[in-house]
Amino acid sequence: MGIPVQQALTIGTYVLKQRLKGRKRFPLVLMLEPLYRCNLACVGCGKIQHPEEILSTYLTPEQCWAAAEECGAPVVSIAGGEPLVHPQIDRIVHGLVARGKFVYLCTNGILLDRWLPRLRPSPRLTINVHLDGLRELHDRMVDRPGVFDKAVAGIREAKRRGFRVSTNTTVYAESSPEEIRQLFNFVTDELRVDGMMVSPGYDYPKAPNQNVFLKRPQMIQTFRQLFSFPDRRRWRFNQTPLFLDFLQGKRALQCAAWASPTRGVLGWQRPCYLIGESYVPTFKELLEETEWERYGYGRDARCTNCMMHCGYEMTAANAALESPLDGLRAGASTLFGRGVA
Amino acid sequence: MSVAIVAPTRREAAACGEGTLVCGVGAAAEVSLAALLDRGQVEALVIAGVCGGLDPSLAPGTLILCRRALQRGAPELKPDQAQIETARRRLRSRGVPFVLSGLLTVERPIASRAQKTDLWNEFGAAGVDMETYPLARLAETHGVPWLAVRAVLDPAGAGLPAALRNVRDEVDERALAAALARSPRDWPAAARLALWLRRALAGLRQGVPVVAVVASSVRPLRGASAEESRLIVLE
Repeated sequence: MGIPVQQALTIGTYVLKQRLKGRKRFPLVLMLEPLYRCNLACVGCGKIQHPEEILSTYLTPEQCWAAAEECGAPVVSIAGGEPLVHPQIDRIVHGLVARGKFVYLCTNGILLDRWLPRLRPSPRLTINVHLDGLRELHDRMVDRPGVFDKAVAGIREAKRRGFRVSTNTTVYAESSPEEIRQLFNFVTDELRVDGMMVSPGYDYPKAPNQNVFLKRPQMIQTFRQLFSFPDRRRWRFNQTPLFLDFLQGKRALQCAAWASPTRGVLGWQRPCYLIGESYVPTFKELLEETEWERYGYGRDARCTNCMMHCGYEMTAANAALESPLDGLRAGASTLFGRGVA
Repeated sequence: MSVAIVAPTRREAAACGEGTLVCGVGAAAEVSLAALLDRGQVEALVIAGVCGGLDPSLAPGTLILCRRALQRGAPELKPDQAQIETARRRLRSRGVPFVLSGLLTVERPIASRAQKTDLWNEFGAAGVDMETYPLARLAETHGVPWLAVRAVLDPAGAGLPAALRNVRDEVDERALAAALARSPRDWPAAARLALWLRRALAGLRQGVPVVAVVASSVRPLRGASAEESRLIVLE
């Protein structure tokens, strides 16, 4: 199963309620970045290029919980930086789960062995491990040998301890569809994770290597090839079928950046998880005073090569509510975990 | 300040405001605008009308303020950025629903949802029409600053009724009604389109005068404010 039924129902009900209330924009996933510090310097990452005093600043658990309550999104994705570098990450996670949030703890897996004994398995907690390829490709993309093996060991241990585990794969210019196919088969058949996430890398201007990013037409081509492999029927995704169609260029979607607001150590990031144009002190200010129409594919040059799930999953979920056929596909995907027809 | 507002059809021109020139649909528009610009009286151009939606988030009636005009195989054209910024602020302050994006020009109406998706992926233009690019190019050739504003007629998720798929000129509404009468399958789509047309024309009524005032303020007449500048009738 890709997404647990309880989570799918909670999110479906939440979205329906927001729409019945006539809200045009509302948060679905809080992107929580309690720190920017990371123990890796991946070649395609543009998140960690901050001065030392910012890298040394961490959100407290209380600030994290307050952000989740202020925002009200049913899902919290804890990213960063590397969340497991945060000395109180266990408290942050437990507090969010206790507040009824569905938490995705995104990690490169290096420190999982240290933290797993201090975390409690819950249907509301998913350990989301970053895997960009099999050993050679992954270690090249994270620019450090041995990380793939650490991450895989962490996944196995998390599964053994009864955690829900998913993987998050970023597709770069260096990742061939064949390599991603092998990774997905490995993750599905050998690691037996509960779901996978995939999206193309965003061309962060600050990323150390600018040659690793795909342009939009290449992204579509890559995903068409990837999802043409017969193996796709076995793969279980934590993503809506519509989003996977979108990656293949079969569906037109516009970004809904407001659905995934980002709270980091500098405040609420405007306009989205990927572009830090400015920071505002409150979520209300972010939602109500951002000129959202200015952003998105075709509107802002910085969005041209973005097909990330943080921007488009909400649009896909909304579309599934509007079309009975898409709704049925999304429901089937939730129950049976099959996203790609 | 002599600002020409041009729209492809009478119906669109009427919505854009008094004095709007009917330039014709598709290739015909280029010919009529060339004749107009050759007279040397136009100091700024506003290209207006309805368009097909490619951006899936846009509802019928939403305006697209053109920040780049596109045509396959041709270099993109950009209107004056300072004017665009002024127009954007004024439309926003008046609460007009709009986006700032590209307009793609093609030779014939884009009828199917799949075609629209492909064009959206390829060009990232919010709307598709049959005139903007050649008219903007003509204006640039004549050294005339231009702005373009289009209202979404058929949204990205919808196709066009069969009777409208080969339109190359001003729609003969009687002939169209007759064609539709013979094709009951198209009635629901035609009824929807009629509703969307009302919204699109309402969008033009709201937005084009705002954009025209901005266009007229490029080089205001000595002593006259932009609002006082005269929009001339070119028919």
